[in-house]
Amino acid sequence: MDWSKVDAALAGALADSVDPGERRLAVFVHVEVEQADASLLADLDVQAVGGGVRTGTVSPAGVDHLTDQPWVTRVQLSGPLRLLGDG
Amino acid sequence: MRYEKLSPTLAVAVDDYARAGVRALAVHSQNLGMVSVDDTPKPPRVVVFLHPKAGADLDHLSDLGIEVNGAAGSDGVRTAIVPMDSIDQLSEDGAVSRIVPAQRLRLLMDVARAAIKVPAFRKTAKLSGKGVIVGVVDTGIEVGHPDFAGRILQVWDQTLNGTGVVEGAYGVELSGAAMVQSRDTVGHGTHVAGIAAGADPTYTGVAPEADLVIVKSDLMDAHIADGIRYIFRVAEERNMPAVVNLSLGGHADGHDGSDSLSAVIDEAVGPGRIVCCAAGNEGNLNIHAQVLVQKGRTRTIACAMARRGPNDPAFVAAYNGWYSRADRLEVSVVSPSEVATPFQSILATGSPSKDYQLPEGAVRIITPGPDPANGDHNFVVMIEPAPTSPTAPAPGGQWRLRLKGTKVSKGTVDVWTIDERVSLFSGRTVVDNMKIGSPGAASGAITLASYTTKVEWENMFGDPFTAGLELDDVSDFSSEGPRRDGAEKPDLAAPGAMIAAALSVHSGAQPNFLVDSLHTLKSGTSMATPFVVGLVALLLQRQPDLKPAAAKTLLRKNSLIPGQKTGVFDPKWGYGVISAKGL
Repeated sequence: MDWSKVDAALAGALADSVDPGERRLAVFVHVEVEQADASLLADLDVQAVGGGVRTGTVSPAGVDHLTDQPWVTRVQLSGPLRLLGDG
Repeated sequence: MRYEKLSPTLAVAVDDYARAGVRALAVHSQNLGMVSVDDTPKPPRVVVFLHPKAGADLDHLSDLGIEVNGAAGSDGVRTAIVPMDSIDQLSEDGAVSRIVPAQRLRLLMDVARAAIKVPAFRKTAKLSGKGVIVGVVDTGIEVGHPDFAGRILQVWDQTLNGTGVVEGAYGVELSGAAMVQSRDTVGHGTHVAGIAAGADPTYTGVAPEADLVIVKSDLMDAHIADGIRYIFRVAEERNMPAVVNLSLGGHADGHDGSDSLSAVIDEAVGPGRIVCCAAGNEGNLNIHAQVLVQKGRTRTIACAMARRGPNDPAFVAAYNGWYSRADRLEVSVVSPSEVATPFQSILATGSPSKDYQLPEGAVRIITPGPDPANGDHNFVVMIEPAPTSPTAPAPGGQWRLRLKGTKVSKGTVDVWTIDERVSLFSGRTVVDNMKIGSPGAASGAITLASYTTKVEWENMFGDPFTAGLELDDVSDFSSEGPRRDGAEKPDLAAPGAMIAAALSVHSGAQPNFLVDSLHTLKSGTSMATPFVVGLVALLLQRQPDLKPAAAKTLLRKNSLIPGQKTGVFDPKWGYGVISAKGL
């Protein structure tokens, strides 16, 4: 794992002691578009579309594998947003 | 009873009648089209609009004692007089899709639209949003609402099980009659869509002839990003310009537009593709603390946290801190009984996350190396308080974050609480600025503050209400900028307090806010955003290749803080409240 490419929230999520084989994490994957390996991204359930910022739902092992790729610059955990109206 | 076919007001009246008989109908007779509220000589009846299924014959309804009137209009809607006792059976009838009671009409001033000169602009410029897509990524839409009749092109419901779309292999894409499978059970998305593009004669949306593409989202920011791309792809396939409404936000980011969702927005916008975002509703909340750290000295931030009772579910209070790439800090957490974790420095190799157990709860501190996006340092602290017995003395004090400088050049540290429902800051470190997080912080988005145009209203039952807001002023709740890097946000303000727009029949309507059986009042920067989305739709109708920066410049030039000259920025107002008059 190249921890320098992982944001703080994802690092925290990876520390959870749930069976890593069962876990899937919604993430953003920042890639260098020209160098990105489309088939590897597809194998790891990362979207084929999206330019330099892709989305996907990957396993902890998948995060590990992604950060080892030189064309992956950043992997960020997706989080929930809130509605900004009442009622 | 098929309640989903009834308008909320009719559902309430039917329930009241079933529970208490004709006496319960007195209050409803003031508002609904009640023919008789006495059960002699005829039972109480109500005048309704019947929305039949396409091509359905309603003649058989006479068997239920229902008088269906006249010929169907082009939309197929008929009027009818229905005995209250027959509403149940009528709702079960397969030929009927919706039952809406007739109402006693009152003249109601559409204050918010007029306040920013929308009707005048639309009339003068002869613009309606026709040929433009308004995209809404939110809680969905009530597909059958008459305010959107015939204008919802597609729905991507991310919450249904399915194979999804090109942008994401989850959820179900729906069009035509199948769109009714997707329901807005919250009502937020329907209301937002109504402000931007509803076609009601009284509560007219800003762009009432725009087409709609809807993403019902699970609100995960990665899926919101997929939704934005989906809308722009659909628009491109139809060769139409599009503007996307994002009335949502969070505080787990750097508040500088460097987060991933903001990056997606910056990448997705372009000529004929524009995104508008809400600033946030934390103007009155202590969600931001700021301290100046010195080398070798410790600064403390006090955190007031919700108390967890013995039977309460577990929750986590999370704090998100950012400081300059030139500085290095150590982070510690102190529990209410003054027990502290060790100071944790930046952990640039291996996992940056460490767990600690304190008497009053579990603590996780995450201190990675520089963030790859903006180069600054970020730390996250998560506290899961242990349950406390109701008979035990309250913890003596608060949780505190301790920050110690080990290498200091700038020294400023900004910390946000991620969920204000479980924790807020207290004390002298609280600051009222930089409260606009992702996606409102996105450079490529137009970000909206809320302006108050209404503080008094009557609900449909004639009850008067007053809001605790200042009229004709920026709304107290509207979140302040600027961004952490000093960039100007919000961009401008639009009406966002007590706005009347479409009500989803599938959501829990609050009677105090119902203005009629189809519309309700809501407040928030969520409501300000679709006003400007609608205006952008009008501008895109006039110029389909309008660029986001040009749209922002035009909107800013036509905004004004009362008592100031045009072009003055304020972190609460942005460039002021928009006026459509000069667009």
